[in-house]
Amino acid sequence: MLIKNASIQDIIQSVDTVHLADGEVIMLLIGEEHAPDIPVLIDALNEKNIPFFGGIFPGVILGNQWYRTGCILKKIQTAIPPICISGIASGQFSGLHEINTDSWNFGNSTALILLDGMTTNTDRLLEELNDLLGERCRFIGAGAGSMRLQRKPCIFNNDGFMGDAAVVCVIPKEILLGVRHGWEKLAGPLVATETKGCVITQLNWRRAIDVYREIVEQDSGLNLTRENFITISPGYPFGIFREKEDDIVRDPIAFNDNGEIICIGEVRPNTVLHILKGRPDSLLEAARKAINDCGENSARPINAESTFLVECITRNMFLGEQFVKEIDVIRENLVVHSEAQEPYGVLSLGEIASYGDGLLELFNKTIVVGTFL
Amino acid sequence: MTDSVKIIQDISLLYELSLSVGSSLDPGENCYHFLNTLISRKSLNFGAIWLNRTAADGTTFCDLFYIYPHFREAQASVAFSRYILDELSSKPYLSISSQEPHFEELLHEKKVGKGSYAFFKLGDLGFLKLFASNRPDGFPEIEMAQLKQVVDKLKTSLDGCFAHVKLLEETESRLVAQKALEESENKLRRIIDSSLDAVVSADGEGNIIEWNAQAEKMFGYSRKEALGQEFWSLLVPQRHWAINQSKYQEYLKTTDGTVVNNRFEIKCVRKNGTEFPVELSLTAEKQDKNTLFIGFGRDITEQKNARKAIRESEEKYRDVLENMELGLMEVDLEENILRVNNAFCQMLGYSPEELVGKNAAETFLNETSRKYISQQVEEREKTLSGVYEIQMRRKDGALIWGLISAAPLKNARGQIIGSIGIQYDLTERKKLEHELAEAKLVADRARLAERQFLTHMSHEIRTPINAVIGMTHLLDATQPNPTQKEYLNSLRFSADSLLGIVDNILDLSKIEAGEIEFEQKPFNLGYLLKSLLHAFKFKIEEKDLQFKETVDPAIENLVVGDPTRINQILTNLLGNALKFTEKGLISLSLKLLSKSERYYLIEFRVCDTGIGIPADKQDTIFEYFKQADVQINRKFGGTGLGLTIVKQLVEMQGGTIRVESQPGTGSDFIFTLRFGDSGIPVADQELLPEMGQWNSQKLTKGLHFLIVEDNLINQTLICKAIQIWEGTFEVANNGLEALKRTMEQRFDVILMDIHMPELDGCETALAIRKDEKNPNKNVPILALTAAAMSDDKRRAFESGMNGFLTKPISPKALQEHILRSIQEIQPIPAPDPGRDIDLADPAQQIDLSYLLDLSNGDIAFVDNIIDAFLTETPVALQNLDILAKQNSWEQAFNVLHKLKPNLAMLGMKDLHEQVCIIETSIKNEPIDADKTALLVETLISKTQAVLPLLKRQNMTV
Repeated sequence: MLIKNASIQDIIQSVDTVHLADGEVIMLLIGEEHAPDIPVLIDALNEKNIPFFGGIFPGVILGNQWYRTGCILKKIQTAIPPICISGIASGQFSGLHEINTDSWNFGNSTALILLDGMTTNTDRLLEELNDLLGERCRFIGAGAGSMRLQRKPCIFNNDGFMGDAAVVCVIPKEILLGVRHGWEKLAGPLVATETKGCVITQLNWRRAIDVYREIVEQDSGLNLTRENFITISPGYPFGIFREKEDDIVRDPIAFNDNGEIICIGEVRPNTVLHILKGRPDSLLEAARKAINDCGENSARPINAESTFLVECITRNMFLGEQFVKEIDVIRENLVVHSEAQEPYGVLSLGEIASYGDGLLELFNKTIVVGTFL
Repeated sequence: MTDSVKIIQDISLLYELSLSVGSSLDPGENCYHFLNTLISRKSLNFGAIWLNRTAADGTTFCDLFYIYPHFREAQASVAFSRYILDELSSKPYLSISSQEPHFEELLHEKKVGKGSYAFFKLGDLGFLKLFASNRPDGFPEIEMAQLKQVVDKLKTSLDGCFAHVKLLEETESRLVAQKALEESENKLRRIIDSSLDAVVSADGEGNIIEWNAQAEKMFGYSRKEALGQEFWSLLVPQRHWAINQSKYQEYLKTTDGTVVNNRFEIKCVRKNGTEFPVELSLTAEKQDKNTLFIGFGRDITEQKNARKAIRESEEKYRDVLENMELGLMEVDLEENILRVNNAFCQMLGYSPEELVGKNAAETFLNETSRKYISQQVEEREKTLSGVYEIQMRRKDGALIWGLISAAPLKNARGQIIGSIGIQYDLTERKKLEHELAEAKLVADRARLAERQFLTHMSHEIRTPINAVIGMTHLLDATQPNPTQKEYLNSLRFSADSLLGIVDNILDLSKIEAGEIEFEQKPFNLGYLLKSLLHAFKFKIEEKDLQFKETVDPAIENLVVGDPTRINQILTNLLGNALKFTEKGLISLSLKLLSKSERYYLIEFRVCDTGIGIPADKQDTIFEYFKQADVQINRKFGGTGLGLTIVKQLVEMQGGTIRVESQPGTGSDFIFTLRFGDSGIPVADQELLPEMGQWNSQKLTKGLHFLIVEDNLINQTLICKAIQIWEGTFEVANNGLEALKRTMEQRFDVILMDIHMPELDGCETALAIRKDEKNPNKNVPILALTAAAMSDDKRRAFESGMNGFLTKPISPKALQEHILRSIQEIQPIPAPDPGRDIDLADPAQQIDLSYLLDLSNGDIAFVDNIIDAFLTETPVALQNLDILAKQNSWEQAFNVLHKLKPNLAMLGMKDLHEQVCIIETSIKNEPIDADKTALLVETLISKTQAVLPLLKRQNMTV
């Protein structure tokens, strides 16, 4: 359900229309523009004893439209009550081990993760979650936060409004995943010979910015400066090389006086990278592939119960007006008989998925489609 | 993609993978970094390192060492597929897809579906196992060949890691073992060193190889000096070397001997040459071919000395017990005799054989003593000691008394097994005590007889002496001639002296018989001294002596004691002082030595400047019939009993007396006495004579009081006050007694205590007021109470009483109340009953202080003035009345003018003022006759009202 004017009153009114059975919770995905006062919303929902969780995102998607404002309200069936994990940057992961899998009697499930997209040390968190839930779950998730890349609270549940945190909700249903980006190799391979977490210090034993600048300036014909970096760099992300799969994209967002490039997501030392470049066609093609990946064994269009879509905000920025086409690509491959079958999702700061049967990874510039059949 | 690009990509990836190897010396971390990179970059599902292990039966097991991601782990240890192990024994790697046989044998992880395994041999360590669901037909050969290069590096790196770990473990365990060994050695050394025995060990040659701290201390050789020395030549006196050596050799030969594995005493020698006894335990231990001897030695010099001392002490003790004159007996818990000494046997006339084993109680105790003893035995059982006297029967039947000191007899464990008693023969002493008691009885009887005789004789003597004295007075009246007069005086003097002696003897006999009782009542010491002064005034003046008396002002309150006896003591001492002093000063002073909450300790000092007492006589003057000198008796007379009586009186009141004197200079007799503190200020009492002298005294003089009071001190105080006012009184101790008295006679005032037993003050007052026949029905009754309870006050007035006073009662206040109540009850009849007479407080209308001041307290003078006033005033008032009625104001003025100073003198301020007003009124022009007449009328009536008060005083003058 989309609440276009996400005022507290409207949200509460909408929540009142939803009947929650045992084990069901409300998920609220809120567009950052004109977002309501979340602590007040939390108090209001707590007063009604409504179990809920959610996040603030650069935008939300429903059907074939996306919105900067508004709120998507979804009733979610859970296997265990949603868990909130805080202290990610410090590696503390408070709340992680409240997840108790001992008494589970569900089959293949899905772990839905909403995570502060601006925090660090997320690789380690994903490893921990994979170890804890990987045996029974596939993963889908989105990085929440502001497209202005400010660090501020963006994750909430009944206990409060938090930054440097994640909410994990285990849904006792199997998900089919499609993870694609469509960005193509422009240059490489390059070796990130020195890195620190999200910061690439050296590329091919040289200052990272010098190598990056040479390639980008040559391709774009523009002079790359500190000021225009944030507008140019989304067109030239890094790809971490993987055999047989799309590269894992890392978005460069800034560089500093030492010539170090800061990315969303970690880059380990000695990682082999490419500098990627996007074309609207290849991106749209990637979307098609992604939805196809979801329904490898099912008939076209896919008759999914529901479809969750995580689209990187930079794809939206890059595609501009064509972005709705990407959503359309997804939607037209789905059977939509009711609002529940309409694809819904978020514009995110980092996308999370377990790739096939492989590892749980944080992606950038990617479209993640998850269908519950 | 061109080949070159593909190659560059592959090389880059291999480069990244190679660099992920060997990131840590920790094998686990090393595996993590490698597998993490490998799985991610090669898009694999998981990777695992398995290590070989050959079991005891030769089966090869594989243990899972590391798997990534961890959740894939299913089995930690498996007997691995023979096929794979065989294959890997000949190949460096192997890939098997899910389509191939043997695939199923390899499923040791979770969530493995379709895909391919890859195995890479890690030398002898084990192998690397990878799984990829995206390689359905197996890993391509080229990929395997590429990966082998990196895996070989991993193998070398892991070899290094495991070697490092092993080294660390070995080093650590070596360190642990070394530390344990060191600790064990240190512990053993500490044990040996802390041993209280000297520990010395020697090898087969007899050379010392161990020497502990105690050995150093015992023998005087340091460890360094002792090690390597032949032990017998170092530690044993030379004369015993040969025997020690031979025994040592003998044991080595036969492993048999008397000393090894035995404890024995041997003589040793210290470094300083002194010999001492050592208790030695020696053991021998065979080590390979050598024999190790270990000796534990203990210096037993002190034990030997102590044992000797105990033995000697025991012998001494036994001698003492056997030979002492006190009897000794030990009995068991059933009273059976265990042991007796000679003295005890002699005491009872038995031989030891006749007593030991017999029951003590049955043998020599009678029934009474047995009961007593059984009580004592119970006490013994509570481990208490006791001393008691009992009677015992000798063998010959005679009874003897024994003083027994008994104590529980305990065994070595502290349990009571009987008792031990020491007996002292009391028979002789008991006999003496009995004789003494009888002698005392005889003496007491004799003393009683003597006293009865004295009393009787004194009475017998007094009667004729009184007659003699009486006769001298009669003869005196017959106008004897001078010679006869002189004879008469001598006769009277002798008779008086004789009477004094008899009185003294009587006092003394009373004192000795303890028949003197001391009163306890409040009195004024200062007043008592003044009275004494009066008594001696004449004699002092006769002898040209000065007398001085001082009382410490710190004695603020009336003291509680016996004024009569104090008077007697002081009279005696002052009498002596007068007797022995011809000129100079006699003084009597009272000094407060200390004051507690309830008591005064007062020092009395009677000083004279008389003949004095020599130092050697000062102790004897207080004895019976002793004077300092026989000459004195001749010169000064006296019985020599006075000071004896004084001393006895002082001491019987808990005081002490002493004398300080120098012949020719004078004597000071000083005694101290303790008095109770009455709490009644002297000042209050002293007011009495002052007031009594004047003012109100006159008003209360001659009144007859009934004092209803159950408290003696209050009675005394009130009685005294009335005496001073020269009134008379009767005392009733309670309400019933008061009713009886009031029926018998009429009183002027009744003073009634409220709280009394039986019939209280209010009930008594009510009964008096209600009874028409009671002559005191309308007599003023004043309530006296200790508690100023408003309820008491209300009840007092309701019962018809006229006034209310709270104790402690000030005599002054009492007098004021008495006067007021008299006026209220018996208003003085006015000349004209029709007039309203203002008699609110007549006592206050008179103030004689002016006259008293004027006359320096001359009562007679004041009396004269009052007399004159009483004579003149009624006439003056009569004249004034007539003149006023005649409007003869000028003459009236003259009368008033004459009256005015008289009123002022007698302190009648209001009346004086009234006269002034009338005078002014007369002088006014024109005169207001009516008003002035009214003023005169008031003046006359008021003055007449006061006259009776003055009259009442005057009547007794």
